[in-house]
Amino acid sequence: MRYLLWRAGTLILTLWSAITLNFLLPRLMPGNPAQVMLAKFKGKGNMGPQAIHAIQVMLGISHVNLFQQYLQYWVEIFHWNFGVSYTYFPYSVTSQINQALPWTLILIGVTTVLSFLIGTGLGILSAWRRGSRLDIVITSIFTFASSFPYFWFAMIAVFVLAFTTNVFPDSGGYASQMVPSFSFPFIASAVYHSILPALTILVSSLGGWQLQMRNNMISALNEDYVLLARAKGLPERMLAISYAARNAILPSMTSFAMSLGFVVSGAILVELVFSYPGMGNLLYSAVSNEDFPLMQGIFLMIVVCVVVANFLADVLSVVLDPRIRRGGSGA
Amino acid sequence: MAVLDVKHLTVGYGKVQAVRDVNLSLEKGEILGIVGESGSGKSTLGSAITKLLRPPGKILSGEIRFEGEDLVPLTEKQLRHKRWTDISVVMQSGMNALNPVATIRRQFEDVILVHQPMGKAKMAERVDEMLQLVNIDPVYADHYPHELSGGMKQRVSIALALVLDPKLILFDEPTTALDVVVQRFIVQNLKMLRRRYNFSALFISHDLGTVLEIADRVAVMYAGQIVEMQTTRNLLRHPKHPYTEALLRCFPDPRAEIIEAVGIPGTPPDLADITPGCPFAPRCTRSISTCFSETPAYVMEKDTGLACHLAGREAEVQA
Repeated sequence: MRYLLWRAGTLILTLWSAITLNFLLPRLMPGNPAQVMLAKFKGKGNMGPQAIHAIQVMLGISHVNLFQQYLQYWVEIFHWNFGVSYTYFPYSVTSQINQALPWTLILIGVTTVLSFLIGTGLGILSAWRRGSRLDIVITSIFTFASSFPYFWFAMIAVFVLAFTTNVFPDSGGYASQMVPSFSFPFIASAVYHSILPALTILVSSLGGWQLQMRNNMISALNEDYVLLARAKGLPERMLAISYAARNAILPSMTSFAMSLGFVVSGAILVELVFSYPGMGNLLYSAVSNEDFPLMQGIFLMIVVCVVVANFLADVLSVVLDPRIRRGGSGA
Repeated sequence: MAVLDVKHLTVGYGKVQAVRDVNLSLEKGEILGIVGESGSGKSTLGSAITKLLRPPGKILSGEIRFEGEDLVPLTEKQLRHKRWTDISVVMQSGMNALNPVATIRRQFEDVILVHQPMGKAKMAERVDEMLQLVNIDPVYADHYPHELSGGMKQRVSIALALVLDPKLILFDEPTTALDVVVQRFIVQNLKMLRRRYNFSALFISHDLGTVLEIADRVAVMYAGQIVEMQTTRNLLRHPKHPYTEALLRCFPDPRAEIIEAVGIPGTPPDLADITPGCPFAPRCTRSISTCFSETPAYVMEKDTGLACHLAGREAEVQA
């Protein structure tokens, strides 16, 4: 318990410093957003000081000192207000994130969970039957599949399954003539559009989980307590699951909890290849258009999610591993 | 009938034969000590008898008769019902033999539920009783292995081995990782438990002192073979094999005025490269030419056995 409180303390400290850095970095850079915007209008004739002032007010650029800006920044964070996006002007950053987030959460979230479950399950299976034909087939397929560069594999998939044979749509999150709603045709269209990106993510990420679990499980199977479990005459299934796998899954669980934190940032490559309307695409357009408020908003989301996921990973390992539970200094 | 009767057992790891043509038998309630240096094959022998050899270890030939039934051809499925109810194991360093993510209680319960299912309350009573037998406060039942000391874990392992009242228990270096005070305590405890439960046991150790204290009979292993087997009393007084003699000389009598410890020069042979002749001959102080050319046969007589060319000659000389 004391360990968890201590971890919660460091969580808050980490969040604070990440958010503060997120505030400071853009302000330490030369220039300000109004100048960026002005530059866009350069070719269209001169702008008067009133126009400059109007833009500054509109973008929320204040001339108070840094500390007051900092306080103001915190107030805005709690109001979930990250300012106005330059690229999608006059929409706010919040509205852009709100639009993109569900797409990423569903696509990347579901595939991350599926990939972990399937990969870990297959890892257990191939470790349990290590050396068998099944193990050799599973392990070599996944080693091969996870060595593809993702973008290459995704583009081949798009070319073959979407462009050439038209089995799946080649881009977008839903049919372009549709308006997002909670109707059956729309959801069906969204699912249909997500199959190809989801498949490519699964194929390229399953291998990692499978290999990690297989390796951990094989070393767990060599432990004395597994041998003793065999000597006890416990059924094979119990031996595999509650002795070997139960111990071997601990490191995988930690990686899994941490990978959940990165779900929010989306898979930039996936979303670019499939023009998927998610966070990865949004971040990419923010970066390529020097849209600082949007970048800042997205970074903030990512940082918070990663830090919270790390905390959850810690909590999870405390729950699953009694050696960490008391004291905090594991044996 | 003997509880355990091992005949011509040979165990190999690939091309290396770690146990060669071993014969032994064990009566009800008897403790047979097996001593030998590292690599003498004593642990392999124990694992083979309980059919717990790790691959690539394999029983190449021989019989392991437990209450008359040969265990060698049995499948793991057929063996499962004998495990722990009939034959249980205490491994070296209970620290790694207990599942780190399960409480002590759960490690008792899973084996009870599989072999002799009983109610929750009765099971709790049984766990408490078993822990008290090895002088562990029952409150530790709900603790995890890492919260116990090495000696406590080893005592828990012993209690665990006894929980289904088995006929045969294999102790594989049970005291090796412990300090002498704890070792002595465990040995005393085991003697008491044996009187109470009357189990038969194989007690494997490289520590001759501990074995002499607990075992009724002792088998001395060298290079994968049993070279001598005698009752503990006779082994101490009249060791017949030069290797046994040399081993006993390694343990000085603490009451002697001048303490003299003698080592055995040389190293055991490479088991991958066994040549004819007695494997101990190169280190033996009394070897004769036959020792280097002919492998001595293991001659059994009732509960004793010896593999040495000097056997007959000694008697002649002494007569």
